[in-house]
Amino acid sequence: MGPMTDSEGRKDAEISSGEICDGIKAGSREAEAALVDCLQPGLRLVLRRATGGDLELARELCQETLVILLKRLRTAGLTDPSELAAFAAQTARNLAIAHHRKEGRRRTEANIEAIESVSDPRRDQTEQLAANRLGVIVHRLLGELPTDRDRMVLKRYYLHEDPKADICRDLEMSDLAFNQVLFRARNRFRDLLSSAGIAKEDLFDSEHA
Amino acid sequence: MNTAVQGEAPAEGVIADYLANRLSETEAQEFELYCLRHPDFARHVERELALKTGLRELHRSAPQISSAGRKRYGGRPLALAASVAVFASAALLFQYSLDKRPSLVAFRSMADIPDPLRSSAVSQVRLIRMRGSDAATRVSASARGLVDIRLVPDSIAESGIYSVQISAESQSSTKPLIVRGLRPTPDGYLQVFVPAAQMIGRVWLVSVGEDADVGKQQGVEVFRVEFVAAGTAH
Repeated sequence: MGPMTDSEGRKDAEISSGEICDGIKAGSREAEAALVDCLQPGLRLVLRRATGGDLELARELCQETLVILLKRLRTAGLTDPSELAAFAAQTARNLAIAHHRKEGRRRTEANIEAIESVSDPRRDQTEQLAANRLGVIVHRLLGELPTDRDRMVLKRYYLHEDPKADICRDLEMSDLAFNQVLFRARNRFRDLLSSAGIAKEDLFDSEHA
Repeated sequence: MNTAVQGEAPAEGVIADYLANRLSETEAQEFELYCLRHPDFARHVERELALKTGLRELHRSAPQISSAGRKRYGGRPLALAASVAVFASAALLFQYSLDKRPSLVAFRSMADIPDPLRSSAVSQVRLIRMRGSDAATRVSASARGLVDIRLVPDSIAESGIYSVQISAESQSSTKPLIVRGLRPTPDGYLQVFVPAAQMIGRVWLVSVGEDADVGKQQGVEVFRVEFVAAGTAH
Protein backbone atom coordinates (compact mmCIF):
# COMPACT_ATOMS: atom_id res chain seq x y z
CA MET A 1 0.00 0.00 0.00
CA GLY A 2 3.01 2.24 0.36
CA PRO A 3 2.96 4.09 -2.97
CA MET A 4 -0.74 4.76 -2.82
CA THR A 5 -0.50 6.77 0.38
CA ASP A 6 1.76 9.37 -1.14
CA SER A 7 -0.34 11.28 -3.62
CA GLU A 8 2.47 13.64 -4.59
CA GLY A 9 5.01 10.95 -5.28
CA ARG A 10 2.70 8.44 -6.85
CA LYS A 11 2.83 7.74 -10.55
CA ASP A 12 -0.44 8.26 -12.32
CA ALA A 13 -1.11 4.56 -12.41
CA GLU A 14 -4.44 2.89 -12.16
CA ILE A 15 -5.70 2.39 -8.66
CA SER A 16 -4.87 -1.04 -7.41
CA SER A 17 -8.47 -1.64 -6.57
CA GLY A 18 -7.96 -5.21 -5.44
CA GLU A 19 -5.29 -4.14 -3.00
CA ILE A 20 -7.48 -1.41 -1.59
CA CYS A 21 -10.55 -3.63 -1.30
CA ASP A 22 -8.61 -6.47 0.32
CA GLY A 23 -6.86 -4.07 2.70
CA ILE A 24 -10.08 -2.45 3.85
CA LYS A 25 -11.75 -5.81 4.33
CA ALA A 26 -8.78 -6.80 6.49
CA GLY A 27 -9.19 -3.66 8.62
CA SER A 28 -6.24 -1.72 7.24
CA ARG A 29 -6.43 2.01 8.02
CA GLU A 30 -3.76 2.57 5.41
CA ALA A 31 -5.99 1.02 2.77
CA GLU A 32 -8.87 3.27 3.85
CA ALA A 33 -6.64 6.32 3.58
CA ALA A 34 -5.53 5.14 0.13
CA LEU A 35 -9.16 4.78 -0.94
CA VAL A 36 -9.91 8.36 0.05
CA ASP A 37 -6.70 9.68 -1.47
CA CYS A 38 -7.28 7.91 -4.78
CA LEU A 39 -10.98 8.47 -5.24
CA GLN A 40 -11.54 11.91 -3.77
CA PRO A 41 -10.22 14.02 -6.70
CA GLY A 42 -12.31 12.06 -9.22
CA LEU A 43 -15.37 12.10 -6.98
CA ARG A 44 -15.12 15.87 -6.64
CA LEU A 45 -15.28 16.14 -10.43
CA VAL A 46 -18.17 13.68 -10.72
CA LEU A 47 -20.13 15.50 -8.06
CA ARG A 48 -19.32 19.00 -9.21
CA ARG A 49 -21.00 18.15 -12.49
CA ALA A 50 -23.80 16.13 -10.92
CA THR A 51 -24.70 19.00 -8.60
CA GLY A 52 -24.50 21.62 -11.34
CA GLY A 53 -21.45 23.24 -9.77
CA ASP A 54 -22.77 23.48 -6.21
CA LEU A 55 -19.40 23.05 -4.52
CA GLU A 56 -20.70 22.90 -0.98
CA LEU A 57 -23.19 20.19 -1.86
CA ALA A 58 -20.56 18.38 -3.92
CA ARG A 59 -18.27 18.37 -0.88
CA GLU A 60 -21.00 16.95 1.36
CA LEU A 61 -21.93 14.26 -1.12
CA CYS A 62 -18.29 13.37 -1.66
CA GLN A 63 -17.92 12.66 2.05
CA GLU A 64 -21.16 10.71 2.03
CA THR A 65 -20.00 8.65 -0.95
CA LEU A 66 -16.71 7.79 0.74
CA VAL A 67 -18.53 6.75 3.92
CA ILE A 68 -20.81 4.46 1.94
CA LEU A 69 -17.85 2.97 0.08
CA LEU A 70 -15.91 2.37 3.27
CA LYS A 71 -18.87 0.70 4.96
CA ARG A 72 -19.47 -1.48 1.95
CA LEU A 73 -15.81 -2.50 1.61
CA ARG A 74 -15.44 -3.18 5.34
CA THR A 75 -18.39 -5.57 5.25
CA ALA A 76 -19.58 -7.11 2.00
CA GLY A 77 -16.77 -5.90 -0.27
CA LEU A 78 -17.14 -5.86 -4.05
CA THR A 79 -17.69 -8.89 -6.23
CA ASP A 80 -15.28 -7.45 -8.77
CA PRO A 81 -12.77 -5.06 -7.13
CA SER A 82 -11.70 -3.76 -10.55
CA GLU A 83 -15.11 -2.09 -10.68
CA LEU A 84 -14.35 0.04 -7.62
CA ALA A 85 -14.07 3.29 -9.63
CA ALA A 86 -17.30 2.61 -11.50
CA PHE A 87 -19.05 1.69 -8.27
CA ALA A 88 -17.83 4.91 -6.65
CA ALA A 89 -19.01 6.98 -9.61
CA GLN A 90 -22.45 5.40 -9.60
CA THR A 91 -22.81 5.77 -5.84
CA ALA A 92 -21.92 9.46 -6.10
CA ARG A 93 -24.37 10.05 -8.95
CA ASN A 94 -27.13 8.20 -7.11
CA LEU A 95 -26.61 10.39 -4.09
CA ALA A 96 -26.79 13.52 -6.23
CA ILE A 97 -29.96 12.29 -7.94
CA ALA A 98 -31.52 11.44 -4.58
CA HIS A 99 -30.66 14.89 -3.29
CA HIS A 100 -32.24 16.57 -6.33
CA ARG A 101 -35.39 14.47 -5.96
CA LYS A 102 -35.65 15.42 -2.32
CA GLU A 103 -35.13 19.08 -3.17
CA GLY A 104 -37.65 18.79 -6.01
CA ARG A 105 -40.32 17.48 -3.63
CA ARG A 106 -39.65 20.38 -1.28
CA ARG A 107 -40.15 22.87 -4.06
CA THR A 108 -43.30 21.50 -5.68
CA GLU A 109 -45.10 24.72 -4.89
CA ALA A 110 -42.34 26.92 -6.18
CA ASN A 111 -41.67 28.12 -9.67
CA ILE A 112 -38.35 26.39 -10.32
CA GLU A 113 -37.60 28.33 -13.50
CA ALA A 114 -38.11 31.60 -11.73
CA ILE A 115 -35.81 30.51 -8.94
CA GLU A 116 -33.10 29.37 -11.32
CA SER A 117 -33.27 32.49 -13.44
CA VAL A 118 -32.39 34.69 -10.49
CA SER A 119 -28.75 34.82 -9.60
CA ASP A 120 -28.07 33.63 -6.10
CA PRO A 121 -27.58 36.70 -3.92
CA ARG A 122 -26.13 34.53 -1.16
CA ARG A 123 -23.23 33.25 -3.17
CA ASP A 124 -21.53 31.09 -0.68
CA GLN A 125 -18.97 33.10 1.20
CA THR A 126 -16.50 30.24 1.38
CA GLU A 127 -16.69 29.68 -2.35
CA GLN A 128 -16.30 33.37 -3.00
CA LEU A 129 -13.23 33.46 -0.81
CA ALA A 130 -11.79 30.50 -2.66
CA ALA A 131 -12.54 32.13 -6.00
CA ASN A 132 -10.93 35.37 -4.82
CA ARG A 133 -7.87 33.49 -3.74
CA LEU A 134 -7.63 31.76 -7.11
CA GLY A 135 -8.10 35.13 -8.80
CA VAL A 136 -5.14 36.53 -6.91
CA ILE A 137 -2.98 33.55 -7.82
CA VAL A 138 -4.00 33.74 -11.47
CA HIS A 139 -3.32 37.45 -11.45
CA ARG A 140 0.18 36.76 -10.27
CA LEU A 141 0.55 34.07 -12.90
CA LEU A 142 -0.51 36.47 -15.65
CA GLY A 143 1.94 39.04 -14.39
CA GLU A 144 4.75 36.55 -14.70
CA LEU A 145 3.99 35.44 -18.23
CA PRO A 146 6.67 36.77 -20.56
CA THR A 147 4.50 38.13 -23.35
CA ASP A 148 1.10 39.61 -24.04
CA ARG A 149 0.54 36.79 -26.49
CA ASP A 150 0.87 34.21 -23.69
CA ARG A 151 -1.73 36.06 -21.64
CA MET A 152 -3.99 36.16 -24.64
CA VAL A 153 -3.62 32.42 -25.13
CA LEU A 154 -4.72 31.77 -21.55
CA LYS A 155 -7.58 34.16 -21.81
CA ARG A 156 -8.96 32.68 -24.99
CA TYR A 157 -8.40 29.05 -23.99
CA TYR A 158 -9.64 29.15 -20.42
CA LEU A 159 -11.94 32.13 -20.25
CA HIS A 160 -13.54 32.20 -23.68
CA GLU A 161 -13.14 28.43 -24.14
CA ASP A 162 -12.01 28.96 -27.72
CA PRO A 163 -10.73 25.86 -29.55
CA LYS A 164 -6.97 25.51 -29.74
CA ALA A 165 -7.03 25.53 -33.56
CA ASP A 166 -8.78 28.92 -33.64
CA ILE A 167 -6.35 30.42 -31.16
CA CYS A 168 -3.33 29.14 -33.07
CA ARG A 169 -4.72 30.47 -36.32
CA ASP A 170 -5.60 33.91 -34.95
CA LEU A 171 -2.34 34.37 -33.09
CA GLU A 172 -0.28 32.77 -35.85
CA MET A 173 1.12 30.17 -33.50
CA SER A 174 2.24 26.64 -34.11
CA ASP A 175 0.79 23.75 -32.10
CA LEU A 176 4.11 23.40 -30.39
CA ALA A 177 4.28 27.05 -29.37
CA PHE A 178 0.73 26.85 -28.02
CA ASN A 179 1.53 23.73 -26.01
CA GLN A 180 4.64 25.36 -24.62
CA VAL A 181 2.68 28.37 -23.42
CA LEU A 182 0.16 26.13 -21.66
CA PHE A 183 2.89 23.89 -20.26
CA ARG A 184 4.79 26.80 -18.74
CA ALA A 185 1.65 28.45 -17.40
CA ARG A 186 0.38 25.25 -15.83
CA ASN A 187 3.69 24.49 -14.17
CA ARG A 188 3.91 27.97 -12.77
CA PHE A 189 0.29 27.83 -11.62
CA ARG A 190 0.99 24.58 -9.81
CA ASP A 191 4.01 26.16 -8.13
CA LEU A 192 1.97 29.18 -7.09
CA LEU A 193 -0.77 26.96 -5.69
CA SER A 194 1.85 24.98 -3.87
CA SER A 195 3.50 28.03 -2.37
CA ALA A 196 0.04 29.21 -1.29
CA GLY A 197 -0.33 25.90 0.56
CA ILE A 198 -3.27 24.65 -1.45
CA ALA A 199 -1.72 22.09 -3.75
CA LYS A 200 -2.99 18.96 -2.07
CA GLU A 201 -6.48 19.79 -0.86
CA ASP A 202 -9.65 20.80 -2.52
CA LEU A 203 -8.56 23.80 -4.57
CA PHE A 204 -11.95 25.38 -4.15
CA ASP A 205 -12.15 25.14 -0.38
CA SER A 206 -10.86 28.34 1.16
CA GLU A 207 -11.02 26.81 4.62
CA HIS A 208 -8.06 24.70 3.69
CA ALA A 209 -5.92 27.67 2.74
CA MET B 1 -13.69 9.98 -26.45
CA ASN B 2 -13.11 6.26 -26.50
CA THR B 3 -9.76 6.41 -24.81
CA ALA B 4 -10.63 7.12 -21.21
CA VAL B 5 -11.53 3.65 -20.07
CA GLN B 6 -8.89 1.82 -22.03
CA GLY B 7 -6.16 3.52 -20.04
CA GLU B 8 -4.94 6.12 -22.51
CA ALA B 9 -5.19 9.61 -21.09
CA PRO B 10 -7.92 11.74 -22.64
CA ALA B 11 -6.58 14.26 -25.12
CA GLU B 12 -6.04 17.89 -24.21
CA GLY B 13 -9.14 18.95 -26.08
CA VAL B 14 -11.26 16.45 -24.20
CA ILE B 15 -10.34 18.05 -20.88
CA ALA B 16 -11.32 21.43 -22.30
CA ASP B 17 -14.56 19.99 -23.66
CA TYR B 18 -15.36 18.36 -20.32
CA LEU B 19 -14.80 21.57 -18.40
CA ALA B 20 -16.87 23.49 -20.94
CA ASN B 21 -19.70 20.93 -20.72
CA ARG B 22 -19.32 20.07 -24.38
CA LEU B 23 -19.22 16.29 -23.94
CA SER B 24 -22.23 14.03 -24.20
CA GLU B 25 -23.37 12.38 -20.98
CA THR B 26 -21.76 9.08 -22.00
CA GLU B 27 -18.48 10.80 -22.89
CA ALA B 28 -18.49 12.79 -19.66
CA GLN B 29 -19.05 9.63 -17.63
CA GLU B 30 -16.18 7.87 -19.43
CA PHE B 31 -13.99 10.85 -18.70
CA GLU B 32 -14.96 10.82 -15.02
CA LEU B 33 -14.30 7.09 -14.79
CA TYR B 34 -10.80 7.72 -16.08
CA CYS B 35 -10.38 10.43 -13.45
CA LEU B 36 -11.49 8.05 -10.70
CA ARG B 37 -8.95 5.51 -11.87
CA HIS B 38 -6.17 8.10 -12.26
CA PRO B 39 -6.17 10.48 -9.31
CA ASP B 40 -3.18 12.47 -10.54
CA PHE B 41 -4.98 13.09 -13.80
CA ALA B 42 -8.06 14.14 -11.83
CA ARG B 43 -5.93 16.62 -9.88
CA HIS B 44 -4.63 17.99 -13.17
CA VAL B 45 -8.23 18.49 -14.34
CA GLU B 46 -9.03 20.21 -11.05
CA ARG B 47 -6.10 22.58 -11.54
CA GLU B 48 -7.39 23.36 -15.02
CA LEU B 49 -10.75 24.15 -13.48
CA ALA B 50 -9.05 26.27 -10.82
CA LEU B 51 -7.20 28.22 -13.51
CA LYS B 52 -10.47 28.85 -15.31
CA THR B 53 -12.12 29.89 -12.08
CA GLY B 54 -9.28 32.27 -11.27
CA LEU B 55 -9.46 33.86 -14.70
CA ARG B 56 -13.22 34.23 -14.44
CA GLU B 57 -12.81 35.82 -11.05
CA LEU B 58 -10.32 38.32 -12.43
CA HIS B 59 -12.59 39.04 -15.35
CA ARG B 60 -15.55 39.46 -13.01
CA SER B 61 -13.56 41.77 -10.74
CA ALA B 62 -12.73 44.23 -13.46
CA PRO B 63 -15.30 43.84 -16.24
CA GLN B 64 -15.25 47.54 -17.04
CA ILE B 65 -11.61 47.30 -17.94
CA SER B 66 -11.55 43.96 -19.65
CA SER B 67 -14.49 44.81 -21.86
CA ALA B 68 -13.27 48.27 -22.69
CA GLY B 69 -11.25 49.45 -25.69
CA ARG B 70 -9.50 46.84 -27.75
CA LYS B 71 -6.54 48.99 -28.72
CA ARG B 72 -3.41 47.38 -27.39
CA TYR B 73 0.33 47.83 -27.34
CA GLY B 74 1.78 46.15 -30.38
CA GLY B 75 -1.60 46.04 -32.03
CA ARG B 76 -2.78 42.87 -30.28
CA PRO B 77 -6.03 42.81 -28.33
CA LEU B 78 -5.54 41.85 -24.73
CA ALA B 79 -8.63 42.43 -22.72
CA LEU B 80 -7.84 39.87 -20.07
CA ALA B 81 -4.45 41.24 -19.22
CA ALA B 82 -6.03 44.64 -18.87
CA SER B 83 -8.42 43.19 -16.35
CA VAL B 84 -5.56 42.71 -13.94
CA ALA B 85 -4.93 46.44 -13.89
CA VAL B 86 -7.12 46.95 -10.88
CA PHE B 87 -5.22 44.30 -8.95
CA ALA B 88 -1.84 45.53 -10.10
CA SER B 89 -2.38 49.14 -9.27
CA ALA B 90 -4.12 48.23 -6.03
CA ALA B 91 -1.17 46.10 -5.02
CA LEU B 92 1.31 48.83 -5.80
CA LEU B 93 -0.67 51.52 -4.09
CA PHE B 94 -1.26 49.39 -1.05
CA GLN B 95 2.43 48.93 -0.46
CA TYR B 96 2.85 51.94 1.75
CA SER B 97 -0.69 52.22 2.99
CA LEU B 98 0.46 53.04 6.51
CA ASP B 99 2.46 55.94 5.18
CA LYS B 100 0.21 58.93 4.62
CA ARG B 101 2.39 60.58 1.98
CA PRO B 102 1.19 60.54 -1.64
CA SER B 103 1.92 57.30 -3.46
CA LEU B 104 3.69 56.67 -6.69
CA VAL B 105 2.10 54.38 -9.20
CA ALA B 106 3.91 52.05 -11.56
CA PHE B 107 2.87 49.17 -13.78
CA ARG B 108 4.69 46.03 -14.73
CA SER B 109 3.42 45.86 -18.28
CA MET B 110 1.41 47.80 -20.80
CA ALA B 111 -1.37 45.33 -20.25
CA ASP B 112 -1.66 46.36 -16.59
CA ILE B 113 -2.30 49.98 -17.45
CA PRO B 114 -5.89 51.22 -17.26
CA ASP B 115 -7.42 52.12 -20.58
CA PRO B 116 -7.48 55.91 -20.22
CA LEU B 117 -3.72 55.95 -19.66
CA ARG B 118 -2.89 53.26 -22.18
CA SER B 119 -3.88 55.40 -25.10
CA SER B 120 -1.56 58.22 -24.06
CA ALA B 121 1.88 58.98 -25.51
CA VAL B 122 4.67 56.68 -24.37
CA SER B 123 8.24 57.94 -23.92
CA GLN B 124 10.89 55.32 -23.55
CA VAL B 125 14.11 55.49 -21.58
CA ARG B 126 16.76 52.79 -21.37
CA LEU B 127 18.96 52.84 -18.28
CA ILE B 128 22.28 51.09 -18.67
CA ARG B 129 25.15 51.49 -16.23
CA MET B 130 27.99 53.51 -17.79
CA ARG B 131 31.27 52.90 -15.98
CA GLY B 132 32.34 55.89 -13.91
CA SER B 133 29.24 57.91 -14.69
CA ASP B 134 26.55 58.82 -12.23
CA ALA B 135 25.11 61.72 -14.18
CA ALA B 136 21.36 61.89 -14.23
CA THR B 137 19.67 60.59 -17.34
CA ARG B 138 17.27 63.22 -18.59
CA VAL B 139 13.89 62.05 -19.81
CA SER B 140 11.57 64.32 -21.70
CA ALA B 141 7.97 63.24 -21.56
CA SER B 142 4.51 64.58 -22.12
CA ALA B 143 2.90 65.38 -18.78
CA ARG B 144 -0.14 63.42 -19.85
CA GLY B 145 1.84 60.47 -21.10
CA LEU B 146 3.58 57.40 -19.84
CA VAL B 147 7.24 56.62 -19.46
CA ASP B 148 8.44 53.17 -20.33
CA ILE B 149 11.54 52.69 -18.18
CA ARG B 150 13.82 49.88 -19.27
CA LEU B 151 16.76 48.88 -17.15
CA VAL B 152 19.59 46.47 -17.65
CA PRO B 153 20.77 45.18 -14.27
CA ASP B 154 24.54 44.79 -13.92
CA SER B 155 24.31 41.73 -11.74
CA ILE B 156 22.37 38.59 -12.43
CA ALA B 157 19.81 37.68 -9.81
CA GLU B 158 20.06 34.04 -8.80
CA SER B 159 16.30 33.83 -8.54
CA GLY B 160 15.86 35.53 -11.91
CA ILE B 161 13.47 37.92 -10.20
CA TYR B 162 14.23 41.59 -9.65
CA SER B 163 12.71 44.54 -7.90
CA VAL B 164 12.88 48.17 -8.87
CA GLN B 165 12.57 50.95 -6.34
CA ILE B 166 11.70 54.48 -7.39
CA SER B 167 12.31 57.25 -4.87
CA ALA B 168 12.88 60.98 -5.03
CA GLU B 169 16.54 62.01 -4.78
CA SER B 170 15.83 64.89 -2.46
CA GLN B 171 13.71 64.88 0.68
CA SER B 172 10.29 64.36 -0.71
CA SER B 173 6.70 64.23 0.31
CA THR B 174 6.23 61.33 -2.10
CA LYS B 175 6.63 57.82 -0.81
CA PRO B 176 9.12 55.56 -2.55
CA LEU B 177 7.68 52.70 -4.51
CA ILE B 178 9.03 49.18 -4.89
CA VAL B 179 7.86 47.14 -7.85
CA ARG B 180 8.61 43.53 -7.06
CA GLY B 181 8.57 40.31 -9.04
CA LEU B 182 10.04 41.67 -12.27
CA ARG B 183 11.54 39.29 -14.78
CA PRO B 184 13.70 40.40 -17.69
CA THR B 185 12.06 40.60 -21.09
CA PRO B 186 13.51 38.34 -23.79
CA ASP B 187 15.89 41.15 -24.76
CA GLY B 188 17.23 41.39 -21.21
CA TYR B 189 15.50 44.52 -19.94
CA LEU B 190 13.43 44.99 -16.83
CA GLN B 191 10.44 47.08 -17.73
CA VAL B 192 8.33 49.43 -15.61
CA PHE B 193 5.75 51.95 -16.79
CA VAL B 194 5.14 55.13 -14.83
CA PRO B 195 2.72 57.97 -15.48
CA ALA B 196 4.91 60.95 -16.41
CA ALA B 197 2.86 63.49 -14.48
CA GLN B 198 4.01 62.18 -11.12
CA MET B 199 7.68 62.23 -12.14
CA ILE B 200 8.19 65.49 -14.03
CA GLY B 201 10.20 68.27 -12.44
CA ARG B 202 12.32 66.12 -10.15
CA VAL B 203 15.32 63.82 -10.06
CA TRP B 204 14.50 60.27 -9.11
CA LEU B 205 16.64 57.40 -7.95
CA VAL B 206 15.74 54.20 -9.72
CA SER B 207 17.27 51.24 -7.89
CA VAL B 208 17.36 47.73 -9.20
CA GLY B 209 18.41 44.55 -7.48
CA GLU B 210 17.42 41.01 -6.73
CA ASP B 211 13.91 40.82 -5.38
CA ALA B 212 14.94 40.35 -1.77
CA ASP B 213 17.64 43.03 -1.84
CA VAL B 214 15.87 46.17 -2.98
CA GLY B 215 14.85 48.19 0.02
CA LYS B 216 17.77 46.84 2.05
CA GLN B 217 20.23 48.92 0.04
CA GLN B 218 22.50 45.95 -0.58
CA GLY B 219 23.49 44.55 -3.95
CA VAL B 220 21.47 47.31 -5.52
CA GLU B 221 22.34 49.51 -8.51
CA VAL B 222 21.02 53.03 -8.59
CA PHE B 223 20.28 55.18 -11.64
CA ARG B 224 19.58 58.89 -11.39
CA VAL B 225 16.83 60.00 -13.72
CA GLU B 226 15.56 63.51 -14.24
CA PHE B 227 12.15 63.90 -15.76
CA VAL B 228 11.28 67.08 -17.61
CA ALA B 229 8.16 68.09 -19.47
CA ALA B 230 8.40 67.68 -23.23
CA GLY B 231 9.54 70.92 -24.86
CA THR B 232 11.60 72.04 -21.87
CA ALA B 233 14.57 69.69 -22.26
CA HIS B 234 17.83 71.24 -23.41
